[in-house]
Amino acid sequence: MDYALQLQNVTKSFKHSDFLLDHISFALPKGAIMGFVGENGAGKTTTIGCIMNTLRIDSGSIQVLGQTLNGQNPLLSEQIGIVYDGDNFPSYLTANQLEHILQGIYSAWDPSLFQKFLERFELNRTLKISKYSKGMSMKLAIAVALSHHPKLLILDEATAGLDPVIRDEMLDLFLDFIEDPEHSILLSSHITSDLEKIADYITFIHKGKIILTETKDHLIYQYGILRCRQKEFEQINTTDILAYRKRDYQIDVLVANRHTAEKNYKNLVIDPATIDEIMLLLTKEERI
Amino acid sequence: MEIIISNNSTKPIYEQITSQIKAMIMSGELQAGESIPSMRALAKSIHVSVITVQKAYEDLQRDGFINTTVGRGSFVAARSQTFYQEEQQRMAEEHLQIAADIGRTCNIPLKKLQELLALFYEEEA
Amino acid sequence: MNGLLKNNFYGMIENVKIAIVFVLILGITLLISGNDTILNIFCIISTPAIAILSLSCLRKESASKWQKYKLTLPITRNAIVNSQYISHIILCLTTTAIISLFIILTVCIHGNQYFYYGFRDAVTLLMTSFVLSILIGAISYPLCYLWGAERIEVITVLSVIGAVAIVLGLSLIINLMFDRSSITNTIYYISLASILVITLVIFILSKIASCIIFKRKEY
Repeated sequence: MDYALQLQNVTKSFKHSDFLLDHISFALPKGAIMGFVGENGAGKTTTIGCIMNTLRIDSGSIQVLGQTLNGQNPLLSEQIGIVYDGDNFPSYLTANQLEHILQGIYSAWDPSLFQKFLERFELNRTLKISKYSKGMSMKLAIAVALSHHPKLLILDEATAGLDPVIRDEMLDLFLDFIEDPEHSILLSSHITSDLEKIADYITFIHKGKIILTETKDHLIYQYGILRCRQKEFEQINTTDILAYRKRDYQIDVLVANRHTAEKNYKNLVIDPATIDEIMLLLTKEERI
Repeated sequence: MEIIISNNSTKPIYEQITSQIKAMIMSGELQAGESIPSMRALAKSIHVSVITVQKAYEDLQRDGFINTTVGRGSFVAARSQTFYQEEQQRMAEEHLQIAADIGRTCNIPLKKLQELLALFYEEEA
Repeated sequence: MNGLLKNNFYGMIENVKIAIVFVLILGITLLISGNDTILNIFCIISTPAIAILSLSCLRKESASKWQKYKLTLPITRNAIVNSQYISHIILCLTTTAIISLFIILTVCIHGNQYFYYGFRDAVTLLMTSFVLSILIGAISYPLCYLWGAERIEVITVLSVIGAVAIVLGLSLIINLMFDRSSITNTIYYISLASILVITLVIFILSKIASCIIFKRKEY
């Protein structure tokens, strides 16, 4: 299989903090959308920094579209589009000026495509970015990222703080982008409802470690949450339990196969798992 | 090709796609040899992930309803009438299996189930 | 590189817009009044002031994720640093040229009442202001990369002090090397030229230092 992104045993520590990316490994196959999920501070932005070479890794390897980003191959950077959360661009620029700058940097910059995006998003070319709303800023950043025809799109919490209408438009754009099987997307987000719709794969990160990487359909249709009382909990086979969480009146148990669990534990309530709940269960420390 | 997806149904999305396409083929809405949208195009139009549509298409291919060739896309397979009848019978069997399971676990006598089946069958006539 | 230069200029222009207006007003006042104090102030202050103001655009850049974003563009880190130095020198040259134009016009209009030694003094004034603005840049940029653009005020103050100190220091050395009365025009011009060359060398060394610092920087 061809991979758009491959991280192997990536470790990164910071001098003045305890935080550490600990032997991170995961891979994004070409033509797919991967949701990168984790709570605030889990290491999503740090991982993306390592991928984009704005942060230096201590050990391990990162392959982007088959090559390594080491600052010496600008051609590789041409093929990556990035969108960060918040203000990507200086507030004193206008969309027009931004295009002038980027046209002189990206060799594949497509002015007519950029214009189409500006029209579709109703963005004013001569308005200073400082006057943009949050939604408009994000739309501009996505327009920019797509207008130089990248093969890999990386979004770091790009849809956080946007209303559902705009988010839906964005998802549409991403599906548009992925229509080409050479294109791939890494979408770091904690808006899991978006990921549940369009992601092909989900990777969970928690406290600098990858705790699960799986196809989304598998998580949604195979995983399950068993809800039971203490006594019933003790009856459950420990090999079936991936993680559990004690709540006030019940214990939630994450199981890898809902259908066999339904057969084995006929009297217990078993719900399909949502990405949110899977994340909650995997990140609370009571894991097996 | 209009596919309606329910997010809240217990039926997985790939199954919804598969059964709707199968229904369209069996009803003649989709003719043999007709092309159906590429996986990615369909994923985009119904707003689901590509891998979900991929699974649906793989299942359709495995069950003999479509043929997918790299480079040319996906087409409705040419099948005889008996093939479709067999498929429809298979669907009925699935439902009967569920009824039988329920009957067994809830101690409903076989005779009662047979009566009910006859009743439902004749209702439409 | 092209795009990076545009980026730097858009940023600089944004910040120096108002200063340019003041400079023009001052220049026009000079043309009208021919006042020699104004001439001296105009000469010495203008270019360095514009250089100082253009540095504050670094802070605005760092207020957004633009510094990080630039690293994802298909350019090397060195190109980013180089473009800043190139933009700075172009800005200083342009401003000095404009100031010179005003001086020439003033002399044309009001005659030469300002320069005791004539042309030599005029060149000294203009060159001093150019050298100061180059040195301000040479000191500020590496410090910005080292300490971050948020500290731009402190950095600017340090660089102005440093620039003035270097210019005074170099002049002192030259004055010590030659006895006052024996300074001919030739020796004078050679010393001016050497100050210019030393300044440019400092500028290039500063660029090399910035490249090294920036290479290790993480965002």
